[in-house]
Amino acid sequence: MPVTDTATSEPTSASSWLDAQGIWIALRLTLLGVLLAPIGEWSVRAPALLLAGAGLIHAGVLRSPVTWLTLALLGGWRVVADWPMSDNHAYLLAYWFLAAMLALSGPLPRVDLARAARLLIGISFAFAVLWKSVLSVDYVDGRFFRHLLITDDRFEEPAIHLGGMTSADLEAARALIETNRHVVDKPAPATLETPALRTVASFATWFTLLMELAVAVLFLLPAQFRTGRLRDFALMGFCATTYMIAPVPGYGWLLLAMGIAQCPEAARPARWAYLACFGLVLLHDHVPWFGVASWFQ
Amino acid sequence: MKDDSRLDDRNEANGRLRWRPLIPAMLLCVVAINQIRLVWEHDLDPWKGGGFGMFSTAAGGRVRHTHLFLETNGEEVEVALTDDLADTDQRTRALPTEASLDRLARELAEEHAAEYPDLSKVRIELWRIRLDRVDLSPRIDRMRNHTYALQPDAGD
Repeated sequence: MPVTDTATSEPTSASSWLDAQGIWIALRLTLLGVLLAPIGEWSVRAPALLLAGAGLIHAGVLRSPVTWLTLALLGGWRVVADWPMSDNHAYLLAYWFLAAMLALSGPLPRVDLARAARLLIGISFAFAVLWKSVLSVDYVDGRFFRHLLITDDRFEEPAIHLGGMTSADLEAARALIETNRHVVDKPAPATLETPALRTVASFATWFTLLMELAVAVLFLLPAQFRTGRLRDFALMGFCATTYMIAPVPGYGWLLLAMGIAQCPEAARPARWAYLACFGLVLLHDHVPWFGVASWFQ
Repeated sequence: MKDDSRLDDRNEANGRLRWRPLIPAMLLCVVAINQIRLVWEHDLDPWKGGGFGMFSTAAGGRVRHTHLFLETNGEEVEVALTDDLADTDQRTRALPTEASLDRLARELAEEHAAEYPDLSKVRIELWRIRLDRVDLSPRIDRMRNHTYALQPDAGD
């Protein structure tokens, strides 16, 4: 007997609101992510925002494959028009829109969407691990994070508060790397590095790689391996920690929307945890945690 | 507690066609493998191209820079990058193919046409910084030395 698909479930009571959401909570979170982190140039952004808003307030728009086909075309066009400058999550978002369209136009949307989510998360993380561990020339030895913490001003807060660097030393180290590039007799930037910054870079290197490896393996393991909800914890752990530092919340929201899509309705605590994690990434984006911590100190 | 992987199994056992979830995943794989090819063959910035290489290397477009030269009346002068060309320059640094270098050269020539009416060649040098494994000392090396001839008899 085929398994009942709950794609058309309607909410029955406030207490079982999340249970009754079925896959729609995943698609609503996807649209919410589009509203919170608008995509592309105006020609893509405007229609995407209109569709996302309409989908959030009208169930018919949310459930229509045409909505998701349009979003997939907009997302795909964004990547093509901006070639080769789009970031990874622009691609993943376009694939996810396509997955939603295909799932909603089939007989078992929940099962199809769940499997697409698992595959997209697992494979994208597998490629990320491949890049970091094999293809990159400077990741495993820690150079990448040392360079990132010094030169990328978006990571200045952790470099100062965790790495013990001063703003002046960071600026001087940046200048050594990024100005007078053809001058060979310059002091080495490492002379300005604190031991704590090196420790932070080393920790970030291995923590990120191992978390991504865990997500890739747990999401791609065949069904006969019983992993319970380990994969959900791994994905949520990755999002809760990474997006506290990495300034790309849209990527985090997309991963969490895909995560809840593959989480069965019976796993109620995990589904609530995904929702909480979505909110946490929102907080990461707006609360200056390091400033708050300094205030308490 | 039901696990949806078991639901999938049961549905597959019932003969349901499960091709729909595979299409986006296959698309992802094709794009990501092509990205690796572009990085190897054309020095695509590993952060770009949909291969999930972001935050994996410091050897991306951010550590690449161009030097732009115009040849007029047999003399070569270096010109600064203007804001109007910043976008083309950024794309060229990310994927420095012959076509993208030619495009940057053409736009540069158009921008300076009034100032240098006898412009015959545009030369673009693309450089990248590699950091020392131990002390992060930047070591610079030239990735491209591209010449674009504006007149047929100018040669290359």
